[in-house]
Amino acid sequence: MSATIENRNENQKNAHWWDALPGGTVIWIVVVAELLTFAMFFVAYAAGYSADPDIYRDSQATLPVLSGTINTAVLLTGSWMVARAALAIEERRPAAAWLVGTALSGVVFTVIKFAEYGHTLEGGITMSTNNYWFYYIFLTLMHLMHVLFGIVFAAMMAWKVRRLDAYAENAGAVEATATYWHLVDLIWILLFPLLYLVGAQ
Amino acid sequence: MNAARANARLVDVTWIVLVALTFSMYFVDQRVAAEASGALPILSMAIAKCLLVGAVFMGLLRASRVALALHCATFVALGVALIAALIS
Repeated sequence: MSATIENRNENQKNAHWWDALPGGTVIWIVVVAELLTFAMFFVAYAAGYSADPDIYRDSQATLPVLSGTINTAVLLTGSWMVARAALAIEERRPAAAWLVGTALSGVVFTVIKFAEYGHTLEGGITMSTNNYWFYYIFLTLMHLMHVLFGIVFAAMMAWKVRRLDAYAENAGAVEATATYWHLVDLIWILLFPLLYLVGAQ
Repeated sequence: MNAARANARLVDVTWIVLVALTFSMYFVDQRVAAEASGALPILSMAIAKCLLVGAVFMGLLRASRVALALHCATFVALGVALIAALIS
């Protein structure tokens, strides 16, 4: 008994701060890599904007800001639900409904996004129309791909934890899914003001 | 049990604050003058949202102070870089 306690104390002494990260170290390496990639594009976008603000403002002015705002709220609602799912798993309470809600919020986001593409990209706008439209199409499509992956992960986790006795073995995977969804949310939280709001008038 | 309930309450309140900040950004955007200086309030709110998502939703507040400090430093630095690039 005392040997077990000694081992546990030794393990705690040797633990690093990153061992405490929710979802495990691997998903956090993904988070950092993805954020760095998007951060480089954000800074390049901002630099491009300051070099030629008129083109960016004129192009931005055609975007439906309200639909972008609603989509942000939808994605944040998905983040809230997946955070509640992770807490529910921790407490061994039903979590499948929260995860289904998360996946559904992703579906709503995707539907609104495609409606927005239909509205804004009519009239032959492509990635080569100007720098603004390159960033808008490239960054929003790349983000949308992440949302689609998030929907699949959330739906898979909802299926896996539909029974309470499967909670223990899937707790780490649900936390990793939650962390991934929050990453997708963080990216959009910065994409939305950059592409839709700053200097759009 | 009480701690679990408090965590759930914190997540709920954070969600309300995040949605409120989102619509505040929209209304600031509708009112702000036609210049890039509007970047300051809007991006400040966006960075505040990123800090809240990391601290509460991602669980860094409970998990690790070092990770939380790194998260905050990263997003504040990114926000400053974006605002500087937009306003310059």
